[in-house]
Amino acid sequence: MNNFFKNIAIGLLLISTSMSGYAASSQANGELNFSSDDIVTFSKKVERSLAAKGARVFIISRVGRPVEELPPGFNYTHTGIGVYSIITTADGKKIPGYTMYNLYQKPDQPNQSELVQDYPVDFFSGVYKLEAGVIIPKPELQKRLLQVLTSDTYRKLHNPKYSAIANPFNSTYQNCTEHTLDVLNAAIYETDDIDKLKRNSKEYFDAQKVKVNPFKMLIGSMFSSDIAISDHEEKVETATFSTIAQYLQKYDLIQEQFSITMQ
Amino acid sequence: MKNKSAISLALIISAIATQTAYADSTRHFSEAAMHSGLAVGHSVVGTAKLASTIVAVPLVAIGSVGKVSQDAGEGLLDIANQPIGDPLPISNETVSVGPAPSTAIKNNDYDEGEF
Repeated sequence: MNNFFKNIAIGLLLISTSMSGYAASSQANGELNFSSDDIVTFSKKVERSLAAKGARVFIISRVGRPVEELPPGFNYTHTGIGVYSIITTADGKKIPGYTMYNLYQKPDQPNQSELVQDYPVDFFSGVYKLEAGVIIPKPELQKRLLQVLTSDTYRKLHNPKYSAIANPFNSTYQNCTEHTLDVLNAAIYETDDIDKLKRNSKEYFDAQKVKVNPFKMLIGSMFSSDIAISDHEEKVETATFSTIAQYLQKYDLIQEQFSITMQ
Repeated sequence: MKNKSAISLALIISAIATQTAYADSTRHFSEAAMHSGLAVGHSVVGTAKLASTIVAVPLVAIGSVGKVSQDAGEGLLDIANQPIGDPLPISNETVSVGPAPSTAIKNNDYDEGEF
């Protein structure tokens, strides 16, 4: 029996080592899957594609991990909001381009998040695949999103307690897609009342069911601080880029939706 | 044998845990920016030049979101007043937030004894 526990201990040690190695592959400043030139070229293609369509504000997602590692229904791994901006460079030039508004996990505390603005080349650095999912909202929604993004509401809607599979119908945890959904609903309903936003989400938004064996989920929540299941009841469901697209489509709030690849 | 069992157990559970990877909300910095000479603020990687940035504000018509567009020059203000949906210009320059402080502090692009 002692050997059994000893093996478990060695196993857990190896797991923690392998998992931290796995996590490191997607941490800031990790290895790139593409050359810097490819990332710069792709990022500029994304910017030009959106600028040609006159997008002031859009929802954007990236593929940060192999799709085969993701549960069914998950096509993208991170979602943020892009905003057409005047960017002041270090040498004082003012140039037009897009800024990305993100909720990112803290590198040293994956169960905590922070709001970070960066740029397309930062957004796509470290992706697994050069592909972007894009939703351009109708002009009225773009205007209202700008109001939220430039007001205190944007930060007020942030909950720093992070779970990768956060329940979008309560405020226990939050991930990047839930924050994006909350920002969208704050713009749609013109309120920063989080309880009201959650009630509206429950009524009108269909989340993605997380189809993973409950045992696997339990193990995941035991060994990954950024996966919590305590905020879920019977079924585990979360917001994704695709479910946000379906929600906006259902209520006729999308101007255009498409993906951009390197080709 | 003991080690084999432990490794097997680790691989099984690790494989399970790996499949619970749903999101990638981690922050990335461009490799090019990581290698940039921060004092200069530009980096050349291959043919790509990255400019570091100070600030970015939404470029929209004044009135709709307050005074955020007042920093714009005249040309850019014209763009701010265009209807949503009209094509927009994009700079040929590529900008980046630059490396994380933890990386910047390791940057050795300074002379010894410069402090």
